[in-house]
Amino acid sequence: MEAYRSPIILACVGLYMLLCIVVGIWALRKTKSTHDFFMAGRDLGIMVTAFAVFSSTLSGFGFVGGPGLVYRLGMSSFWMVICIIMGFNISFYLLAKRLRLFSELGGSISLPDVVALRYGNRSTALLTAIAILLGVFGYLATQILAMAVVLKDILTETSLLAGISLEWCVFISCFLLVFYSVTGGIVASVYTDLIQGGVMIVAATLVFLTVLFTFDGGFTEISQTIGADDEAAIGPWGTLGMIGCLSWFFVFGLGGSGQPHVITKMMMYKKVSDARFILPVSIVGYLFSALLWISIGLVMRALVLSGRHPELANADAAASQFLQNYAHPVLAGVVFAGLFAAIMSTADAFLNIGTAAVMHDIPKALGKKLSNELTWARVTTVLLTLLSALFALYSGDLVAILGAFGWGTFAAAIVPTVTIGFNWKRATPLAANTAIVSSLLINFFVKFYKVPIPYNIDVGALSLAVSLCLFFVISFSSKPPPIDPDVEAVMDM
Amino acid sequence: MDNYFLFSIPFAYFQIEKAKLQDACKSGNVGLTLKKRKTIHVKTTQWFLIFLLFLLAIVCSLFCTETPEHATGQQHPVYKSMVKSGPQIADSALGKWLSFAFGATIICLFTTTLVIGSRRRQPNPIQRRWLLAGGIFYLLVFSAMCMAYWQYNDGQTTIYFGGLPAPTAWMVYGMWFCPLFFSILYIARFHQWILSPEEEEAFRKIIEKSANHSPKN
Repeated sequence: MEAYRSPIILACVGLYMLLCIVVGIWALRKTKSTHDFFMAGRDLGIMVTAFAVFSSTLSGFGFVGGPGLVYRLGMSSFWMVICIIMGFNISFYLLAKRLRLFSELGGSISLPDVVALRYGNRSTALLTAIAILLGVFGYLATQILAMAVVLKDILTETSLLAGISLEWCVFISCFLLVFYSVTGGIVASVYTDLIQGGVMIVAATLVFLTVLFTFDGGFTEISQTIGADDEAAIGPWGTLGMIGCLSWFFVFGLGGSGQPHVITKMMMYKKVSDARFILPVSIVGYLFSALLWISIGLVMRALVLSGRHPELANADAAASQFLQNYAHPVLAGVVFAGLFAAIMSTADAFLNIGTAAVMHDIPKALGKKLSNELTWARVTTVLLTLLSALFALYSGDLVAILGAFGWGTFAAAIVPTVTIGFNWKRATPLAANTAIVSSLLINFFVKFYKVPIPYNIDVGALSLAVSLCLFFVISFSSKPPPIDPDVEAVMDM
Repeated sequence: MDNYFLFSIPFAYFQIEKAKLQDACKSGNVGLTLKKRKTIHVKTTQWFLIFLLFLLAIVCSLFCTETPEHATGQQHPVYKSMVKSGPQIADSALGKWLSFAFGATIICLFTTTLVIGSRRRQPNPIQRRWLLAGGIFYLLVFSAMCMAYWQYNDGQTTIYFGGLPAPTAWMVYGMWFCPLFFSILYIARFHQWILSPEEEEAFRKIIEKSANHSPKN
């Protein structure tokens, strides 16, 4: 079996990709309008929505960057995972009902659409669309790049395609992504999310079990090995320290409800009361999938410290090194398919909201409307993927800056405007606009000029706190704005 | 909107209802009223802003104090791909309490956010009490984790639970799963607290009405 490791991995990934293509073709038949393309006809069931929510939350970062961070920093990055149940709670308590009701009330097909409905203000919708588009570029480019790098790693292990270039891998990745996103839009996206979520849960659970048996003493021995080298690394704050970890806790907990690619899924489910079942399924799915993130990093750190494995060339290789050396070939194949699943589920979600921003939200906010929106949506999806691919390949450090910029910017821009604003009648358009602009400025300024922040407080956390503060202060100091009676009635529910 | 969130704090239990305050202002009895009725109704959103300002004040104080060298880790002396810890903020008494306050404020913000999300036309004190109880429980778990960590940091304890040192076990098994309390409330009390069948029906009527008029968006 060991001799066939590479072909098995390639077969698993190939099978998964084939499945995505089949789903794309199937979804093409279900997509007849822009409403279907962006909102899946607002007809999604509990399982599909729940899997789409959690698999979009856990991107490729959870499978590559996450274990890498645990390997590098010890327990610190656990805080990005620890807060997620609270993050889902906040999203569901504040948004699941409101977004679903608003989207039906306004016949909305995107987040800026419902923002325009809530605030009755085009500039707020325009700024929301711009913030989404900027974040999408960075995120999408990093996802495409991650997918291409992993594909290259897999293909170079085979004798036939050993010399394949990164450009070709980007092309293959984009082709697949574009195929099912263009044909089936969000319908293809959410149904592949269902498969992707399933693959992620199975893969992560099996990896966790493998990790437990890597050391005879199980997790206790892993902890003791790490603790013997550095007690703080296995302590609750890892090597980063308490303040840095808590800033992650804040931005990933509260900021989870500001991720447009996740919360737009809350506009798509069929019955409002389904939200009560979507929440637990999302949480359980995420909990299982996160096992991979937290277990691989720790076991690899322990393996290296105990001298059983050579030091890694870079921390991000933790997952692939573990899979190639300690996991059964079939499991490694399933996990690599799971990795593709995680990357693609996030990428297609971004592609969807980015396309909506370009061909629907921005023109609409500027008072223009495109005819034949469905065709334009498909064209825009292709163009956006191409631009992101070029950006990923040739923009150098900018892609990393924009990639890192994503979560915090979304959080700081969208949490005040949407999460709070949709639940608080006193919120004004001016306050929302200020929150969005401040979030963009703070995040860009700090990242671009590498402004030092004490104790490595996450810049996203800082910008989230500042934008929320501005949002509240401006709203409190302004006159309560007039609200459409129907919108007000929905806000009272 | 008369949607208030009452926090019962033993030492500063104030209650000023808008109308009464206005009456008091008219009669010039503001001071007297405040003395007589040491209770203030603070809106949930105001509590949120207070916690937020407190959080920013802590961040500002961190900007004003000098960060010890390697406080956020340093390159491992043997393994270059790893980071090794440096001096911890909990090593100093001020840093210990400052970082504790930072975490506690974040939990207060999370809980207040949930209360904002549960605002309805009709205030529901039972719901708020449950959410508040969940928040207090979350704070207690966080406090227990911090106390276990302080002992661990001082080298006083190396107890393992569930394969992890005690403070880490508090984090993984306590802090991670504690918010499930709120999830259970959401699932169990959905129709009472989140959206009742009557409200769903009312929404249907709004949709039917607006379908007869121009679209909203």
